Amino acid sequence: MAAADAHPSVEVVTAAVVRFLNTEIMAASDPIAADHGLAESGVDSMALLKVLVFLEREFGIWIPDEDLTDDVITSAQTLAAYVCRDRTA
Amino acid sequence: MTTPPRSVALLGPDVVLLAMETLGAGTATSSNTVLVVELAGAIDSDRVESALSRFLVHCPWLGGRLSRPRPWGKLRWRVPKGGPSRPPVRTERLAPGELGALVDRELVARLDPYREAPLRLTLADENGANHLVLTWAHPLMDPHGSEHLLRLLAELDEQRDGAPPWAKPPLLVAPPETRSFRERGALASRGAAQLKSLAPIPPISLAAHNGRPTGLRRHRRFRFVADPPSPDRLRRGMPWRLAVVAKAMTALWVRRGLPTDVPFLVPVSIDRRPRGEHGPVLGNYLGFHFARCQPPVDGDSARLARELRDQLADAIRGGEIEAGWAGMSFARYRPLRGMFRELPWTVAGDFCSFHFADTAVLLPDRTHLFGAPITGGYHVASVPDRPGAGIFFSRAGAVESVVVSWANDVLDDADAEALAAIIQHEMGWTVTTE
Repeated sequence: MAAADAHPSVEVVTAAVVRFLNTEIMAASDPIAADHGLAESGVDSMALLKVLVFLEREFGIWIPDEDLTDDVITSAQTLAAYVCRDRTA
Repeated sequence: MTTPPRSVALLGPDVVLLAMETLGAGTATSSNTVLVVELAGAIDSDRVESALSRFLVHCPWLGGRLSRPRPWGKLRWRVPKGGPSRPPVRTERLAPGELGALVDRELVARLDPYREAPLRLTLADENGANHLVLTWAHPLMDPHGSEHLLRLLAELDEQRDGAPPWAKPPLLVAPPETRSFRERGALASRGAAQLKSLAPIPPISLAAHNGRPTGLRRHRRFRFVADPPSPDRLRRGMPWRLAVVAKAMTALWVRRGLPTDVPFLVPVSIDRRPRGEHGPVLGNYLGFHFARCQPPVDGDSARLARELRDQLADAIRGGEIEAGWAGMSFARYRPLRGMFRELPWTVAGDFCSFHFADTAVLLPDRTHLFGAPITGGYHVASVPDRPGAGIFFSRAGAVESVVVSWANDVLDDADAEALAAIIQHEMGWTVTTE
């Protein structure tokens, strides 16, 4: 389980985010991939907030408003990169 | 001789419609909601009527519920005693500037789903500017459902050989609830408890000091473009927009002498559809979050947006939105008055301070409707006598629309313009006439 791992890799976090998106946010007929644009895939502010709450629950990191820049919330990959960067900072 | 209505098993939205009709029994207040699509060309009404008829054939539930053999075709809710009724597609020729008045009339001209079709389509030619106006009785669809309906009608229209345009029938109603009654009951109890604790101080609406409502409705639509075209993500988010609306409303509160130490209570609709598909057409598929905030007399929208975002995150963490949704599914079968009686903060007559919604991008995957290019559009929601005012965002292409709706006398045109000016400034938008 990701939460048990103190320093999960970007790949592990990315996979967890993609899994969450595809089970809780996206339609089964329209799954999202790690590098897909979140906004382009229909992930609006409410859906993004659900992803952020998931990241907090699973990895213990809450992304503050000032860090929610477009380059951080572009895709599952960029969100995961932020989480791992923040953990190592 | 008229044909009596057939007995059709009650399923999904049918139950919702009947329940909502019961809740509204004895009132003449309209719950109409309107979608306006701007077009760069006229639409042939025959094509719309044909698509509606084919839609009923392809969609068994609505066909079963609405198909009546006489007098004019398939789309009938119930044959009235008085004889034939008009088909729900009509054309209107308007003088310049008359579209707004037509939409105001649509908001007020109550659709009675027991006596007529629960929706109507108006093809309006406003001195060469063409509009398709879809009006429906509120519980029939939510705004996204109305766009989905137009999309399906357009797809049927484009399939001229009579074959179904879809590999499988589109999703018409929400999929059946898979959770047990017991589980939903427990959730609903939690939702009800949470609802009761929402507002320790009863909210105040603009309509509170407005005298006797007459049921009339007004709206104003304002058009903007983002400048620069790609604003930061936060400004595109719902919490920011709600904060901006709260700031605009605060200015109005101050002008009216309403207390600014009483927190705003604002129901925010949350679309429960999975992203990436259109979801069901019929029924209300929106959950609610009740946002609370102090009127921001200091004008700090960024601080308020952060506060509202944190509040929304807490609601997600605590499962409040889902609990509220489960609660609503039970509340549908109870009289509205009874629901209000159980909420201590509605004692003064105000359920909330004002309405707010962000309906996002309008018809994002359509360029044409019935052969006419889409150039824009917006949703216009009716607001109840209390709170009597609401602000609704929608987008079409590069144009951001802000629609202010109000019950008679709660606002006037100058108020609506003042609200829109604050929103424009806070969003960093510029006015457009495109």
